[in-house]
Amino acid sequence: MIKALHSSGQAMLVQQRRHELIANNLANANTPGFQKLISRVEQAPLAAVPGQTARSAGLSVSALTSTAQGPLESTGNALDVALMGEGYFLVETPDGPRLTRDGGFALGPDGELLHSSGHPVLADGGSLRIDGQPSILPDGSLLDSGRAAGRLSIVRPLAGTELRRGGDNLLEAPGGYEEVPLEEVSVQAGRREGSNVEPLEEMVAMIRAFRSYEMAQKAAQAADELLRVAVERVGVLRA
Amino acid sequence: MMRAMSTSASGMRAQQLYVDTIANNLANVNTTAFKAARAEFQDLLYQTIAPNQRQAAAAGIQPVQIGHGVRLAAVRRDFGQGSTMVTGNALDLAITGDGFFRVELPDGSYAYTRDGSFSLDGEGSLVTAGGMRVAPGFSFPETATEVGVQRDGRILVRSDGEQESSELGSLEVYRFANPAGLRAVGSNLYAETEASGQATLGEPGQDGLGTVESGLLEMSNVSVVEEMVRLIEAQRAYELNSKAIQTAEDMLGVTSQIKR
Repeated sequence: MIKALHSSGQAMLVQQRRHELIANNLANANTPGFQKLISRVEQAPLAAVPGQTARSAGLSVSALTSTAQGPLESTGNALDVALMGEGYFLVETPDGPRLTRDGGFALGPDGELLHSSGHPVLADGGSLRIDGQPSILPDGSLLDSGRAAGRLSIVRPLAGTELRRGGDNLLEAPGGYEEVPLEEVSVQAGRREGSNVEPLEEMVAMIRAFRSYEMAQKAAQAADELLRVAVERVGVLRA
Repeated sequence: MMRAMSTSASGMRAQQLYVDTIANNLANVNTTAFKAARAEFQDLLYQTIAPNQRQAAAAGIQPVQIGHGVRLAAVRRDFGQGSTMVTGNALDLAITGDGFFRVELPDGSYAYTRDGSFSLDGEGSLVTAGGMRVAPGFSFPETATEVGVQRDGRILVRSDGEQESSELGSLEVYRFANPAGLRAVGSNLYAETEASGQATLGEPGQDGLGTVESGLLEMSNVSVVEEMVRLIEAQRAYELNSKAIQTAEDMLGVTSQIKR
């Protein structure tokens, strides 16, 4: 009985986490290059204890980064670039290299190409300076007044590794990353990738999370009711 | 639950700022040489919630990262060319390119503008619509009857009784390495910042600086349709975030009802 209460509580906690993930997706519905997190509830397999019946397994939420393409928006800005297909731009931060799909770049005071977080964007493994009129070609090459200035580093995390988020539209690849082959790279200048959050999907997920939360609460109430009956009715001494 | 509420609140705040910039763009749709601005966002920090040791070991469950919403990263200005309007006034000037006129502020410092609706003040100086002197400073003779501005910025004046017009001086046209870094100071003026880089004097018509066109004014580059679409987008996103807050509140209500 106590176990049922415990399971219900855990189920509620899981749905609460899902709702938090959905709230964050919705808050970032207009964040450029944002990739939504899709929650998945998982049941940890029972660490079978010999001689005991199966009981509530530990529930947990996992979140996967959706790599679906976000909508492209024309901005007309020569330094706005959108990545088509998989891959990330590489940004150098004091904490090490970070990945991003937010291609709204700008030039710093000394002509350095900067990400919206203010950190330098990496091209050919180093930072890049532009003194003249910048333009970006579909293969990610940068031109400085028509002169070749380098090629944007475009990478992807190694297969099977997840990305970690650090805010500022930056992602960390703790499992390492590799260069995307040149023939698979497609960059569109003058356009920007929006957030890949689908409001409809998030609303449906939110309703589901809420109803599951309610159901788990009802289960907790039922367990509580059974306990009450047990306490009040069973073993009552009648005069 | 409280986290979901503050996450969604940050989303609503962000959309509000988005609407603020759209409203300002729309308010300036007929402002000479106005450049549309756009709010840009970044996600906030994430908290990593690790599963307990036993679960992680048993199932290889990854820690889940839960975000805390969104924040304003910057308001960027689009310095794209606005459309031009014919006015026929010789002292209405438009720059067809990246250049800026330099004006002298009353405190002696300089600001830059693309609004070329110039006129003469009582002393015969060329001034902006706001009364600031246009660099390098011109004094038109009182006897001037005909004024012309060449595409390379030279100002020609013909005085009463003269056959030929004479050159009064040349307008200075400046450019910036990164115009998006300029700071708007109001009255259609921009100030140089560290991010914009130093203003460099250019030659009109060279290197994309643009020529000076007399009798034309540059209109704002605000696209009303685009702004309306963004307004709808912002409003719906605002609503969605408020729904997430409502849901969080309902969940809190459900929680408090566990115990009857």
